[in-house]
Amino acid sequence: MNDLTAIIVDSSASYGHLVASSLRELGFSQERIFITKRYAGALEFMNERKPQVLITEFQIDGKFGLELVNLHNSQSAENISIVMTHNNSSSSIAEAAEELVDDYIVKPFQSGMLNHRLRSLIDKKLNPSEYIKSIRAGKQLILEGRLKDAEFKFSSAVAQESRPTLAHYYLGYTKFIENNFSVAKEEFIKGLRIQPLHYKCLTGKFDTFFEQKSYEEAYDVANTILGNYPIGPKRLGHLFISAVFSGRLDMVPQYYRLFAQLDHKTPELRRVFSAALFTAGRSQIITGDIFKAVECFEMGIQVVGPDSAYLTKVIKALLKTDVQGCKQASRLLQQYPTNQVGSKEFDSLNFLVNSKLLTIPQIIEHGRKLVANSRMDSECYEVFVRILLEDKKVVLAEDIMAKAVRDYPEARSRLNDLYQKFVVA
Amino acid sequence: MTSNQNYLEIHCLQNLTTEFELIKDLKATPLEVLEFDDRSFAFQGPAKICGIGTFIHLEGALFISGKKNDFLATAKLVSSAPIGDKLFKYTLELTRFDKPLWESFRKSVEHSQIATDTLFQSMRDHD
Repeated sequence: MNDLTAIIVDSSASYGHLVASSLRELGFSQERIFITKRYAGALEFMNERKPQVLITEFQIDGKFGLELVNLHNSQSAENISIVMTHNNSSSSIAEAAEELVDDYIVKPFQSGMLNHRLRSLIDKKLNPSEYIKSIRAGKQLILEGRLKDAEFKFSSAVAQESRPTLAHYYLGYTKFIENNFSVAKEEFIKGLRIQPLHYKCLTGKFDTFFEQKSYEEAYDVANTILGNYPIGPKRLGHLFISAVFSGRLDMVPQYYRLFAQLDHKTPELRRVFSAALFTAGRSQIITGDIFKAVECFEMGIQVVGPDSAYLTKVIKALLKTDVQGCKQASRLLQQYPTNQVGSKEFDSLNFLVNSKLLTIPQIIEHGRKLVANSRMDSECYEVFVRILLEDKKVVLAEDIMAKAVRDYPEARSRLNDLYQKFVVA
Repeated sequence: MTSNQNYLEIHCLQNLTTEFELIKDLKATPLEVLEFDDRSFAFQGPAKICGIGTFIHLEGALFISGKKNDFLATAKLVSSAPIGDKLFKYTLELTRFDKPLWESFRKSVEHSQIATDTLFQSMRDHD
């Protein structure tokens, strides 16, 4: 083992030294062991020295050790990665398994356990069976983009093992990358015939349905996955989308709970989740259940945090409903980010809400103030002009139109159409 | 640290005879226990905190599945070994301590790793 290089990434110097001492006992040379408390330092070392062994905390320096694992795995299919952490939550373990971490060690540990586990893991990695050798060679070929050669390796692996579930999975995965979804699905199903709850084959099958936009089938597989495994952030978003797009809106609260329980909520997951919650809310509006729609929107707001664009989208969706929906829109407007209250965007949105809830004289007064201070966007101008024309205040409407066209020349034809509709008719 | 974790923090280490503190300011920055056994545990500290065979009074907290338990004990320093950066790994053997509490901590850590392994293996399928 003295030709292997290792990196230990841990915010605790004590654990860093303890692991280094174990690695030395296993035969690693001192100069090939790098210990760091810093994520940036780890990244730099990994890019420069390409270590074969990575031992990292789950969270380091405010970042996630699994991002280092991702890089490490992309460097070689032979690399060994270990997460060593106090964090024993099932979603974190699931996330590590998804990222193909080789071992997950919970701190603190029984004396001698670390040495034993490191030795057995490294032995297993360095002395694989012929079957695993073929799988790893295939994985390396995928990393190099040689998909046909990879397929050949995985096919030969199928013949090397009596229950070649993993080989079927990787054959399916190779086909999946090639966008040959029907063959990919067949391979995942072959794997599942051998092991009906094989996690990778189940997720492969789910991904295939999802990519084909067969959301109902995807949702059925998602249910099997959820019933048997904890879910990490990488997969939860797609599982949730399959539930929403297959019309299972009753599942929204359950998925939201799963989201809330995650230790690691990636920006991508927040984006996917909030978009799916918005879609779920709109579907509830279509079914006429404003209360449930608001529930979905509020969950979406929790997911994205103070985000004016998301709130605007939600409020505008509610303004297209009945009085109850408009009252809810007014309530949600109170959640607008404090530092943006008073901005033109806020004033315009506030006017749109008021235009549904105030009396006509109140709306006109509010509108005139905004126009005088150039605080209206083009949509607000249209709404205001429409209200004035409906109330037969033609002269005022013409004044406002002139101002609107000066501020937003592109709105001219829409405003003219509106004017024609009310005045000429 | 989140709620279901197991760990041991040391807030005070005193020479039992002289009552001198062996490491200062542990209340502000508690020592973290790295490894443990049936009746011993290891931690890292600065060089030469005391000699082998010294009896020590210790105070700390045992967190078992996230629940805090006060832990008072008497222990004997049984080994010290350099581990780099002028730091030493010390092993203390517990002589007087709450045995059921310690056993419950040990079991909780063991179960946590077994549950982790079961879940991890079922999802990972090693290659």
